[in-house]
Amino acid sequence: MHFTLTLAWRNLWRHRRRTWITVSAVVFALWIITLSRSLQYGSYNAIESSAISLVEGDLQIASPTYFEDHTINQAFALSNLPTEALNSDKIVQWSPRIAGFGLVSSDASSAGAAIFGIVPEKEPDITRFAGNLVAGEPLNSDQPNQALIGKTLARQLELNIGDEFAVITQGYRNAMGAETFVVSGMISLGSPELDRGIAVLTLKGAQNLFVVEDAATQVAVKTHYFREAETVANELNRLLEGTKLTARSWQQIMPDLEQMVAWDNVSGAILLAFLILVVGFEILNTAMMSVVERRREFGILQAIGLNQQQLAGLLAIEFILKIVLSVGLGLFVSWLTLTLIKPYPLPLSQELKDAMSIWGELPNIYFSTELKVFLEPLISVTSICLLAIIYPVVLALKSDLVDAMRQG
Amino acid sequence: MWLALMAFLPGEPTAADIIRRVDELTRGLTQQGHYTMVIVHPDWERVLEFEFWSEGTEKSFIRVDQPIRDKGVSFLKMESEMWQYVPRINRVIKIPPSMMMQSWMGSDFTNDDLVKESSIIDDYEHRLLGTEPTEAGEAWLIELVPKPEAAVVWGKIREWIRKEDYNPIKAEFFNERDELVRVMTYSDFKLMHDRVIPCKMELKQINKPGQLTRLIMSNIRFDEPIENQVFSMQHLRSSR
Repeated sequence: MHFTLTLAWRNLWRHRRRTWITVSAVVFALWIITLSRSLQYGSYNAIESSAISLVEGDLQIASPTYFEDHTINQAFALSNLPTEALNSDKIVQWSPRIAGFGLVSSDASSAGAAIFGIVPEKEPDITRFAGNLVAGEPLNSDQPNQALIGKTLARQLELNIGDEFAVITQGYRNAMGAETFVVSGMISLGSPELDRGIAVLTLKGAQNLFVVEDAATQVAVKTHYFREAETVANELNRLLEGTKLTARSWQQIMPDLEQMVAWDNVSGAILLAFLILVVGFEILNTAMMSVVERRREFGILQAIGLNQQQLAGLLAIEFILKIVLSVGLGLFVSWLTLTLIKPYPLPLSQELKDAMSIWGELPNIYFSTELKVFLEPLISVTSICLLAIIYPVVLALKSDLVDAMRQG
Repeated sequence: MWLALMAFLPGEPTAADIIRRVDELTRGLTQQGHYTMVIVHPDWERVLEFEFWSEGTEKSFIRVDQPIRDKGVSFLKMESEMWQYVPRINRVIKIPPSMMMQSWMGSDFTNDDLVKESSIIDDYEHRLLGTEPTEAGEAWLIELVPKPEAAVVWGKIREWIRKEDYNPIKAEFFNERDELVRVMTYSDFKLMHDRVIPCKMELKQINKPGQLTRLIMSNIRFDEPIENQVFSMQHLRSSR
């Protein structure tokens, strides 16, 4: 075995140029694939974490029916909230809130808008939407008649800081909700669509509007890392058993976000699959060449006592050595490149930013160096290479080598 | 000869004629009276009482009397515009067209249902599908399909009309994908002022099982003149 290995290694460098062509093709393909996966995963991290922290939060606790029917009728009494379950070290912050819909009306005009009631002292630790003030002052729990409104909505309703406006809505058990509020500040969520349809009240203000006492529709929760939200939600659900409340992770709350990412991921993977296929053919081609060109050599080897199996084994080891070399080198080059460019964010076109703006302003995108960025190209490229060498090895096994030597 | 004779015989009225008769009967030239609305949910019920005035399809006015919390909440509809007055916040609010299909006071009825922005006569093509026996009596089944230019949200309406007195029995509302969205059932046919009409209506939304809104009429008077002042902003603002 050791002898075969030495022979195979030596054979590789007898055809130096051919070996380098194969190695560089694989290295280059692996490099492109790894970088492109890194960019994809990096952008998903940025888009997802940004979208999650805009409004929804990593996970939410609410009545199970609320997730199907987003109305104030699904509100729950805050006294039913098991706060000890929320004071876990897996949870960075939590905050009750009311989310609903209402008709916002000024003397000038009226428009429908999403209405939120938040705890201003806690919400900024979880989400960004109420924090991005472009004018005025933030909310304060002691002043329940104050409100923040989206800057486009403010313009539409001709409202300035300090102006009064009314909100009319359907309150708890379809009671009519109507209150007036004073504009304390204007917010921008990064997209005109969002800024056109949002008003943020204090939790108390929203409770008055929706005719509920000490109740909320949901509790938004921030975990240490948004990818752990699902695990934390599952743990919470064990603690919430028997409380008529349930926890749902952002994946369950925003399935469209996950679907968008999954779709993009698949379309990216398909493109890379073509590249991998090309690499496979390149390997097949050079492997075939090394079988066909070296018939005479094989004939001699056979003449001095190597049987066909041994010959095929030698070839296989040669190929595998070449693959290991290429993949190893490729991974190293990719890792080196990513380590060097990782600290720098990617400049993005305004077009792309606009396309993503329904989830708020797009944050900086960084290349990802998660394990799967390297693992996926490693596995796919290695498998296609191994697949590509099967036929040449079989061919070597089958050929009549004495005849081959005569011809050569 | 026979054809000419037949033209003079009292035959089946056309679908459009039937719908016009129904509209005249249930709406009247003017209408004023007291309504009770019960919003039924699986876990709770909510009762609203209100006064209603209308003149033709153009003008209507609603003032809520019960519950006490909402007393004085009023709606004025003039032509295609609708305003709401809320005493709690002392404000008149114009209801934007985009809100016309929103729930009226938390019921299964929409703002549009209450003030009838679209006309069942002018905005639809009517087709008589046939005659069907129903519990309330022999009925015509009429299909109403909105005219292309009409601003109507329904894809189609199927309405059962009692032959005996042109009273509506049931209406099924379909969306543009031809799915049944809601069903209105009329019952309690009795003499109200000068005519027999269904005094109870029940509206059920198909996607909200266990939930319905019941509308009960009492003390309705038809075709009596209503002062123009009723349909005015001053009246709306003074509703306390």
